[in-house]
Amino acid sequence: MGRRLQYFSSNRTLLQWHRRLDSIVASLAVWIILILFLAPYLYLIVWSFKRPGDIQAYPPRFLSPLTVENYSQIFADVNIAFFLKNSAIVAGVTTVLSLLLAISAAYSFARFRFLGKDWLAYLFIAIMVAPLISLVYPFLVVANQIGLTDTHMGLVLFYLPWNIPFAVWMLRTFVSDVPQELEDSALVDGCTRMGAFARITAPLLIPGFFTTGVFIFIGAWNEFVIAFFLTSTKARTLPTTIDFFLTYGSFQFAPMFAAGVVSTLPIVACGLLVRRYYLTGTTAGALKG
Amino acid sequence: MFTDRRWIVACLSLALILVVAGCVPAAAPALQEEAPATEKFAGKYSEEQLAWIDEIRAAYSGATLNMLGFAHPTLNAMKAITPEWEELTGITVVYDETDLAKVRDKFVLNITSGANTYDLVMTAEVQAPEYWNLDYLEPLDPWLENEMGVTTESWFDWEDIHPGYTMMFTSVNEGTRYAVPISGEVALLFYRADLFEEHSMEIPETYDELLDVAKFFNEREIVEDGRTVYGISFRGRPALGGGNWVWSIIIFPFGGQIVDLEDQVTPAVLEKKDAAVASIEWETKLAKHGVPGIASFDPFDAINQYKQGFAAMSIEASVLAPGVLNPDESIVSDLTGFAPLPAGPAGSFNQTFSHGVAITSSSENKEAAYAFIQWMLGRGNQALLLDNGGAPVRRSAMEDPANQERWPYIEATLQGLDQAAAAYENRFFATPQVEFVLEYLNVWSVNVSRAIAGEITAEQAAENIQSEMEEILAQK
Amino acid sequence: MESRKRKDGNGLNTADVIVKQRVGGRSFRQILPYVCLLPAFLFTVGVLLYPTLKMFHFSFLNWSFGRGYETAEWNGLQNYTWLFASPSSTLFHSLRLTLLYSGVSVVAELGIGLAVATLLNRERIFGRVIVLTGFMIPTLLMPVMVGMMWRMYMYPNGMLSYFLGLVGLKINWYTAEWAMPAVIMIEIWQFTPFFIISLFAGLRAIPDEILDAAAVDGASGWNRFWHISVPYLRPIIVVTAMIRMLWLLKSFDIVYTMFTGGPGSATEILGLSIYRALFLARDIGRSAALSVILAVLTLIVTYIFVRFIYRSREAMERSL
Repeated sequence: MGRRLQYFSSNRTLLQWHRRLDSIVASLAVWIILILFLAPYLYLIVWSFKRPGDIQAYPPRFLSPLTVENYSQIFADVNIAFFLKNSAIVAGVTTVLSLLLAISAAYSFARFRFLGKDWLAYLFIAIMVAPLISLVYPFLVVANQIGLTDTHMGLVLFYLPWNIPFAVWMLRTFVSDVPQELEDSALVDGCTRMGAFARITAPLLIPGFFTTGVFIFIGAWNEFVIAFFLTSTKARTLPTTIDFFLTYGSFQFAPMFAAGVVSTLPIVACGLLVRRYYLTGTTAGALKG
Repeated sequence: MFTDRRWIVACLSLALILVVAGCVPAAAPALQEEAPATEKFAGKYSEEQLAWIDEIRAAYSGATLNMLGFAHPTLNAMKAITPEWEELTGITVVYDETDLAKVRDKFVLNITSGANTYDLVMTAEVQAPEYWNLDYLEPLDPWLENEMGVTTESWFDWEDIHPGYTMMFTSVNEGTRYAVPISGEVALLFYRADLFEEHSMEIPETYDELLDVAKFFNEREIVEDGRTVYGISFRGRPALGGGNWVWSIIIFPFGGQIVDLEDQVTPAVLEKKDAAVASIEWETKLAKHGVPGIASFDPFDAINQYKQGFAAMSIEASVLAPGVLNPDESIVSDLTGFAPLPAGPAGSFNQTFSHGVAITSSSENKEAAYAFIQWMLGRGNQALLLDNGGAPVRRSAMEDPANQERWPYIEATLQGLDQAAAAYENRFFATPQVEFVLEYLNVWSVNVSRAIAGEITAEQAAENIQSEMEEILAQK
Repeated sequence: MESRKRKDGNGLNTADVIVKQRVGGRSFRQILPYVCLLPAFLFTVGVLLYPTLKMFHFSFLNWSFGRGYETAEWNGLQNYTWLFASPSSTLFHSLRLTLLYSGVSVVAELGIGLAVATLLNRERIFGRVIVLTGFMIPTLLMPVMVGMMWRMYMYPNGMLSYFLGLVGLKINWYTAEWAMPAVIMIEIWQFTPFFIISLFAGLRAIPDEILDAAAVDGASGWNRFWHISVPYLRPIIVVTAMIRMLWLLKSFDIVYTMFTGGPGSATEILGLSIYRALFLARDIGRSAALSVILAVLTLIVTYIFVRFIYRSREAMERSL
């Protein structure tokens, strides 16, 4: 494409047309891929408004009547708001704490040169290799001893070690992207190292924080195994409520899908709210601006 | 370049989710009403019951019972009428709910890690032997025989519960009872009455005939509204926490056995090898005449194929019948007939599968828990439970003509139950009552599924089942 | 050129000098990097070390799930020898499936992710922000829900089969040969967005000057992508792929919900074997031994990735 671009560049209008065509084709492609990816979810939303019988029917009933009964059922009978609240608390606290605890390590790995650096960085990965299911028993014993079963703090404590290494490794690449020279100049201007970091680097890391934070939040929001075994009624989170719909003898798909939609919407809304931090305002953009 | 505003917006948006989620009213705490007048229920309960309730109230009011259950229509019925119990006795019941496949993992981990949280637990027949062999459950006999702190009233009526269900929770060697059944099922043959009539087929009376009928419909390639109707649909998935369901039902009619009938522990599949191989082969052949993919069907998949008109027959659980009869879920609601399973070369045997409620041995509120079971599952309250969606487990309910009309499959179920109860008298248990029951079930669940999927032959499957079970036993 | 200097941002040069200037103490300069690691280290290694060591310990025990710890017996290496030697052990079958499952998923996700991220990074895309947020949605769904949802679509007579039937394809996802592709497809569907978003963020960080300079030099779009964007993206590609690989090797919920290892044993990946060994075979020792094997496998795979990161960094440094 580039070569043709060169060829036409003598003619400005043609170039403009070419650019316009290019953006139309690319946009179209992206939108088609997006729709392919979203189709299962979008139809999940449709399902969540259908009557149970219409979901299972074959051939599919695309135009069957819609109902909001599934939603009233999950709010009234299952009290999903309570679980939403638990999930929000646990995922929110996990995200903030993971980022706070990880940033100094990420900075250290990105900026300093020290003995055993590569090995220590690898240790953060290596400690996570044990499969969760084999760790549940020790987790439970520990949680019982320190009285953290069925509490939000207990869940957060056991979510942190999986998310901090992720945050360290992700943030490390983001810190590396911030030019050292910027910090240096602040140091020369008389800032402390902390000050230079807080005033120069941290703001440039905001997209990194958000990109990383979003995935930590989603991970904690969706975590199932630890939540299932460590909570029963008080701190129970959303993913474990799916069980309510797997009724013996008949799975209740319609309300289950309604619960699925309810569980994703807050994050989608949040994602839209903070989008300009993780999507548009990248490091490079900030530098240029 | 950088202002505090960004941080503020970020924090605000995070706070927003927390607040939004927090603002939605959480569970309204159950209001503890002051001194509920027993007179309010005077018309509803007999003098005798009210006196008992007063006694319980005086002794245990204020206690809280934690119950671990799995999503189940009867549990929903229990939840629906629990407020009445709380009002009557002042004993609160808190339900922790998961699903059948995972309830046991949670319960066992909870106990082994020393948490000791639950007073009551809902158990399936495949889970109970493990629990009681590990001493997790309180034996009910001393309670039923009035030796404990709470009396057993005549309106509880244990004998009325069908023995086909109670025997699932009674240890076969000691006769100790561990759980009160709340629901149960037997395998039924669901069949398309219209297709049977149209092609003038008879309801199969032997397993060979059943195979022929499935083959007949499969080869006929009937097409209705663009759907192909296959011969049969049943479950063949390597289930987690259960054996291969169909095989555990047909093994006895085929003349085989799984464990030694006397000690109920020693693997004895190969002692009647021909029967074992024949039964696995039969199931494999049947799957070939069925909806493609049977080796990965769970009960839900299997019945859904039938409900949506993809199969002329289905061997499935009686508990799934209400869904088949519900025109909202099923297009064959008017076209379905129910029959007991056919007879095998060795005769007619059936198996039941049951769910019950048990008291945990680590509970500190056993009296209140037993009182709760008695009130909730006794004959005295049966109508209330059934009206709220519970399943009938009592002979009195199943023989009631009004109920037989309400649930057309109940008659075939009762026949199957009687067959099963007779089989149990002869110690034909498909669920070995040992601590490692799930290990045993896992062995034949996986091997039969592999045979159906064509990975191994029926003979290999039978041999694997025997040798792997022996290996398990040798470890103990 | 400023942008060229940025490449050594992995932190090699000036830091030492500056710490010395500001603080002066040699010892503080030496421990500062370690002090910075401390909070993260405490909450990661501090929480996970004991349970992980316990897992190692359990793998040498003969201990039935459900019984008290006092009934456990020392079993030596027997759990391992059984897994490697017994004819009833499905270890190698599971290992093969696990590697296939994670390998195919990671490669496909990375490929699609890179392609979409590059498309998204073109000059003008209508509704770029909406598209990006939209791509997040599959990742947001709870894994169990994803499994249940796809079960409904992939039924022998589900929606997907219906649409495939309309174009004349007859695929039964519930059979032995299609079950594995089915779960891999679901993984790809759910986690490609993770790559799209991470790689997009990386692409945006490439300074325009470099690309513009290359364009002026007459490099074609493909050349610019391959010789400038990809090397620049390499650290983020390797990190995301490594993390994703780590998740995939241990994953089990989608397979559990869709097929629980069936039909037969066609989808019995290691994560599921561990579950089965613990909860069904009730063998804590054997399940812990399987976990250790999986952990070692994961260590090896991640180590290869990490070497790759360092190599690519060294190569970059040399090229300066």
